[in-house]
Amino acid sequence: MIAAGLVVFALWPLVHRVLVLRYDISPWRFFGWAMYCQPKFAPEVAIYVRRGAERIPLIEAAGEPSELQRRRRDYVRRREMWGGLLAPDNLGREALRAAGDADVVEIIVRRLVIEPATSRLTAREETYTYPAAPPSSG
Amino acid sequence: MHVTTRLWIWAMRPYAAAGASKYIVAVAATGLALSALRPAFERPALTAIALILLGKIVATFPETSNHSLLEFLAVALFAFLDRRSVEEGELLLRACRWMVLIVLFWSGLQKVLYGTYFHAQFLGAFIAFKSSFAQAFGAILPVAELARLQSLPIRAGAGPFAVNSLPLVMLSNAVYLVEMVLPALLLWTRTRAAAVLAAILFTAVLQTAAREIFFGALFLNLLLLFARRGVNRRLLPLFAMLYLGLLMTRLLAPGVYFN
Repeated sequence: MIAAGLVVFALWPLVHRVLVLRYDISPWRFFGWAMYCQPKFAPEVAIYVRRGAERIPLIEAAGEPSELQRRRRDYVRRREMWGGLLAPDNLGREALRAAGDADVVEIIVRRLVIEPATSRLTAREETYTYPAAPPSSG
Repeated sequence: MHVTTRLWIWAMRPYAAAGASKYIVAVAATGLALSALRPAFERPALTAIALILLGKIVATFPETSNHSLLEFLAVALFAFLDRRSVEEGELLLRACRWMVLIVLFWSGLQKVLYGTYFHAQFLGAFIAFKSSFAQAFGAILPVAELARLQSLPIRAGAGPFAVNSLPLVMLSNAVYLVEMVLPALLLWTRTRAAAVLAAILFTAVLQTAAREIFFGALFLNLLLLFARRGVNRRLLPLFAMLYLGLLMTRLLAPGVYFN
């Protein structure tokens, strides 16, 4: 049993590396021994609303209620850990509520990493779209 | 000692969750650690401490530090295996040693896989953005290079963070090389004694620079398992002073950062 545990302990960092590559989970967490490989920058979360052809930041379109601000902060904290495994669905729903008559809410999550080839900070971005529910018929 | 000191310091952190119950955990762990000094209670007490640590890992997951896992596994092994039995004692020693080798090797290999140490990019970024790293490593940089790094903003396109300093680039590459080569030297009995000394020095310097004092202390203790038997026991007073020092620092100088 001890030997099996050590094998898991030895192989897990490889799985961790794959999860970082594929889902952008935090290299600093989840026991992959990859701390001090990439700086720890908190992800940036930008929320936009689209009304027809127009696309504007939510904060300009409808302000940002305190509940939405709280959910955004919470999501940033959790996203730093879980990366792309954690979609901002709750945040999207809250943003749709706040946006009122928006057609679509768009959430762009951005994280800075050092790109080894250029030695510069590069942004890894992922965009999530949340269409407003169509009005119910009848 | 390590676990209880770390739990007390965790309990004293104002921003950590769980409120006053953290102090109950710290008191319980202290009581258990003291009872573990009696041979009859050693393994039950260690089992209870291991469960406390596991509970803490689960409660803080995924924000749990990697250190916490190593700490839990070390305690769990001592609880699960009878160190006084010849067979289990040997298995315990080998398991702890293998954990050290795995952590050391993967720490180095991950740096190679991430590619941020060949031109000291990671160190450059940390020198740029963290004053503790600037203090620790800035002295070996030309003044102009330090100023350049510290002028770099945190935004896409910023850089380059590759450091224009041969000593720092050599140091950066030495870090992962040492981490990957030391396990082999620790395994081979002919080089073990020298490797233990090298590993202790390496760990002490690196973890102090990173202010990861608790991880450094734990890892040093585990590294000493490669040394002659009984070395850990002889160095106990030194570790006791270290832990007391950390506790007093947290109490008297809470602004001083360490992990």
